[in-house]
Amino acid sequence: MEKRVVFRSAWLPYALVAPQIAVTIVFFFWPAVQAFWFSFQIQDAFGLRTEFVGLQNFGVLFHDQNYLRSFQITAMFSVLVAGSGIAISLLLATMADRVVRGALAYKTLLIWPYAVAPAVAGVLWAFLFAPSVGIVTYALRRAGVDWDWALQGDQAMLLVVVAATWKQISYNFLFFLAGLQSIPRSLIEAAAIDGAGPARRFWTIVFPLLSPTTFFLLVVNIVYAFFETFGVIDAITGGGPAGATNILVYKVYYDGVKAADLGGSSAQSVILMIIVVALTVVQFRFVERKVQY
Amino acid sequence: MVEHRPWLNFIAHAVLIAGIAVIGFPLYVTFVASTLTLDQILNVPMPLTPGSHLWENYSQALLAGPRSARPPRSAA
Repeated sequence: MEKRVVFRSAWLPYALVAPQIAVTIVFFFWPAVQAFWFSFQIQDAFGLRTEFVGLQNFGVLFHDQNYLRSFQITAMFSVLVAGSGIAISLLLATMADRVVRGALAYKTLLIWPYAVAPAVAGVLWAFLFAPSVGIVTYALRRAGVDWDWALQGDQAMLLVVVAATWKQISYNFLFFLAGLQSIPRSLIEAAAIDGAGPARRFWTIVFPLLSPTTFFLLVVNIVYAFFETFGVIDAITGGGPAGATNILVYKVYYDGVKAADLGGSSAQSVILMIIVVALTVVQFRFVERKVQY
Repeated sequence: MVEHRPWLNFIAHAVLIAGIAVIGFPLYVTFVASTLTLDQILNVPMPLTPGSHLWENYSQALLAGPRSARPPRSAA
């Protein structure tokens, strides 16, 4: 008893999906193939001549200290952004799930930063922490901290991590809150009757039941830190000082657009594509096998 | 709530208020700065209460375009 609706016409289904396929080909496959092709070539800076060089671009990259350093920076950056973003929003969501009075006001206020564009978020934080006029800079100097992220790489890193995390907390918060509210009350009440305190209930019941949400957010946050923080970095540090915040995606942009090295930039974006695919595979494998209950 | 624990509710409210204070601070400062003149902002530390130039700044931004430099940034 199959109740599937099928098209009798041979060409109509293809015509109906054609627009979507066309969009995918033009805006995804074409650029991807183009980048792949460019990554095997060397272009001169004026775009007059191109030369096929095989894997030379990749070879150069893996001997380039700046590129290897950019890998380290990206790894540290994304671990810090994803880790602190998830930890802070889990804390806030757990608290927001507990309070009754004023819950709506708390939730509304915590969702605000999500409405701010990444580049605008970058400008906000650059303004707060500006070495010359920033209000937080002033407070830090009063407290005896020598704050100048335009000169000190560690501080620049800290600043972009804070700005990128700030931007992402709202998103994580929403998902955690939804996850917390879908945990059956009866489980928590049963544990309470058995004498488990709030902390024990959290770690033995709530946290394991939240693990699908946490893992989903972990992958989303790492992808966010890899790619969507471009606006934050560009608005605050522009990859500086001395490349201290030069994450991979920013280096792709810088080498390709500013330094006009299309081949090297394409090779980097091919490597980034491979990283995304790997992350996606990890996500699906892991989510399906380990986290589901 | 499962059980009555007043101190835990107090902590929950305190954490949420602290979180909102930190998360909302950049937005608040930006709003305050949008109501000040450039001179007031450059006069460190800038005031943390809204000034009187809100209409002037917003009409400038909407109708005339920027008049001064972007926020300070370093070269890459």
